[in-house]
Amino acid sequence: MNPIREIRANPRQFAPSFLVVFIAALFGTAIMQGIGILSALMRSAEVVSGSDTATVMIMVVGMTFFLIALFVSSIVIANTFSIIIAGRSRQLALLRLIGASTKRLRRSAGLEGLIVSIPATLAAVVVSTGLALVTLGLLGDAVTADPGVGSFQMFVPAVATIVVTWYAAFLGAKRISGISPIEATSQAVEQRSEDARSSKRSLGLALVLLTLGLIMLGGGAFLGFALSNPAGLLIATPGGACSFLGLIIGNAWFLPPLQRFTGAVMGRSAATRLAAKNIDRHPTRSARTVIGLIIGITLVTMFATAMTTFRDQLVSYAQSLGQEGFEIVEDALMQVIDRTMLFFLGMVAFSVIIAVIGVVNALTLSVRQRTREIGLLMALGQSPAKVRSMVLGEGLQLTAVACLVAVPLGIVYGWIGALAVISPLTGFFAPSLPWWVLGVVVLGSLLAVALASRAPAKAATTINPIEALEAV
Amino acid sequence: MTQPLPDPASPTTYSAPPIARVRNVTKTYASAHTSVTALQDVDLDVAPAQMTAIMGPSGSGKSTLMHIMAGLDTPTSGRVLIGDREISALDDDELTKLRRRKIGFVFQAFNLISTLTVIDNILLPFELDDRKPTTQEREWVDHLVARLGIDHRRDHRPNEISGGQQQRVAIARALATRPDVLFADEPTGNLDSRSGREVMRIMSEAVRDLGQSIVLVTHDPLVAASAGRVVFLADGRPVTELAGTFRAEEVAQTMLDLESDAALDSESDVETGTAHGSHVVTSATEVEAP
Ligand SMILES: Nc1ncnc2c1ncn2[C@@H]1O[C@H](COP(=O)(O)OP(=O)(O)O)[C@@H](O)[C@H]1O
Ligand SMILES: [Mg+2]
Repeated sequence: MNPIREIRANPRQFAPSFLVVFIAALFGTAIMQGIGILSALMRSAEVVSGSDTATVMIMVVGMTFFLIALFVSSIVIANTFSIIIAGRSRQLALLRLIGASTKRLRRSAGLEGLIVSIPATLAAVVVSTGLALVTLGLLGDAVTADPGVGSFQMFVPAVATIVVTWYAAFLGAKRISGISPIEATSQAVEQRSEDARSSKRSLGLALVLLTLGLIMLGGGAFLGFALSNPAGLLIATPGGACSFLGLIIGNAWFLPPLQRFTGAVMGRSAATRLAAKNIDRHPTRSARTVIGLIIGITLVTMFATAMTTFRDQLVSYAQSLGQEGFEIVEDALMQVIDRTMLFFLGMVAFSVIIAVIGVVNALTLSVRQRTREIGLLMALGQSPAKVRSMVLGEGLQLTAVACLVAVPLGIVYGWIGALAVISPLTGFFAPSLPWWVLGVVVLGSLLAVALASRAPAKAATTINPIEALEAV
Repeated sequence: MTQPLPDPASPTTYSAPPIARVRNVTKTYASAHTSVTALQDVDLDVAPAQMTAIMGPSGSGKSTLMHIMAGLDTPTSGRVLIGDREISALDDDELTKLRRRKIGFVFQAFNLISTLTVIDNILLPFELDDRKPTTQEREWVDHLVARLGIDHRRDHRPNEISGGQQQRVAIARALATRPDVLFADEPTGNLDSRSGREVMRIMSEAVRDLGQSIVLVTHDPLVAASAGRVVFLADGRPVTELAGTFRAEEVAQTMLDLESDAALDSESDVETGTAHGSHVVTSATEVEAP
């Protein structure tokens, strides 16, 4: 109700949101300040020619990645708030019953987002500015021009983060409109599952985007290798973005079946089956949890595949020309490409980290909301170890679904990108798979989720069965 | 503002106009395969400054009637008036305001916001109305809190006080805005008998000393005996009632008769295979997403 009171009553459920906002704002501010320092450095060294275009290029690339991170954050925040709201539905129904309007309840949930985002963003700005000042100190006399670390535009990403968080919290609280006051009168404690509010309209939009995107992707690739027209990339890129957006919008429609499938494949033990059932109980919530991770892992896989394939094709093309003394150029070229790839991967990594936090956060919240049920399981003789592996299984299954979708998708995107760019020179080719990147991102996210779900798993087993079954 | 209403077929006549009126109300719950008639053509007048108890076998429609009278649920057909406002015609905003200002609720459990202290729970209706209680209202709340014996618990949270105390807080909250009518659905259902008696004493006093109108659902003949009038429901209809002076034994006997009727009824149901309104309430409200 009163946003400050809600946060104070249960500050821990907002900690992950705080962290996510912090990371996003830090990322955005650091890019701005980093670019500020870089261009000041260039100006001081009087590298006048080209420095402006370079700065603008880096700025565009950096801001693109910031926007991606912000988008993933907004998904995580909206999901967090919708889970928090679901956990409060009885309380909200009671408030509706006593005479609170839905508009008011939703507004105050949005305010909770605003209140969480402001200190998180401030902290991020302080840390980033601190880092910038340290960097400037280390550079010393090399920077004579003003880097403008404290200037107004440095804080645009921070302000954007606050606004986006606020709105995402408001969006996540959409479910409040569906809570009827009569729910408060029921004796049943069981909480209603979030209904799949993803309308037919969103499915329609998703399908249109997907079809359009696939056609453009195919067309772009075809233009490249069949017609040797380098304009293919210009068509393939928006095509890829279009189809990916289609998948994101339609996530509530296509992810749940996949989740069910993964759950069925994962194993037959009681803990795995319970985990799969928990995921299936809130199919849209789980889908929303997974989609952030899908975005991150797809981008990582895409960049890695595109760059690796590009590099390999370029090298084999050069070798096919059979020129003397090419090795030196070749080495330099490979280094540039690998560094560019690492730079891109580092940028996407922020989104992956945010998404992993989102998964763990969803786990933590849903465990807390199942206190009563887990208490009952334990009262009926479920061992703590089994309860723990149930929670762990849930996290791993969600991550597995994400990898299952994202890795093939990223490979295809990256491959088509490489085809569009270089197949006019080389003709058709198969993608080169960036094995180590794939290994790191898949195992890394599984491991991160596994490690991080130890906290909610432990919380689940410290539930006292007697207290859990008592009515409050 | 409304057309004159026909007199209900009620044995009692009142000097003051009724505080709530139910006219030809029918409520049917329809799902894909079955349809349950929870209320069937119900007519009821609730007298002001009196406690009206509603009794009946489980599934007879008591809760449904309460929800419809309080504007929480809409009847399939028929009209409901609180004072002289027809609430079946109000939109959600107006209903929300009505609940905030004119109606109080107490249920069997889960009446309080767990994150709020006792006193904040009681003051919640004012907060929802975007205003501070006036000095007078503040005094009234203080008086209620003292009277209900929860003064020393003001700053506790609901999970730190007993079930009986929680119900008293719920009553204080429901009475804080001096609602036109207080609806209580089995408010003592979760309490031990001593706490239950305590809660009932407080409600009776609210009627006697403040002229509060109360509609109360209960299973306890002793509780019902402290009401001015008992209406008995069976299969979604008022079947009989007691008013004036009556004893708990009479209430208990009437209930027994109704329940054995119901039992006979359901036996014949099995034979003839007809469906009746008295189903077991399924509490699982989980709705799976498609
Ligand atoms: N939301 C609902 N959906 C379907 N049937 C319902 C619903 N609520 C109540 N009923 C049915 O209506 C009848 C009356 O219920 P209720 O008013 O709760 O009875 P009581 O409070 O007297 O026990 C019962 O048969 C019950 O199964
Ligand atoms: Mg009932």
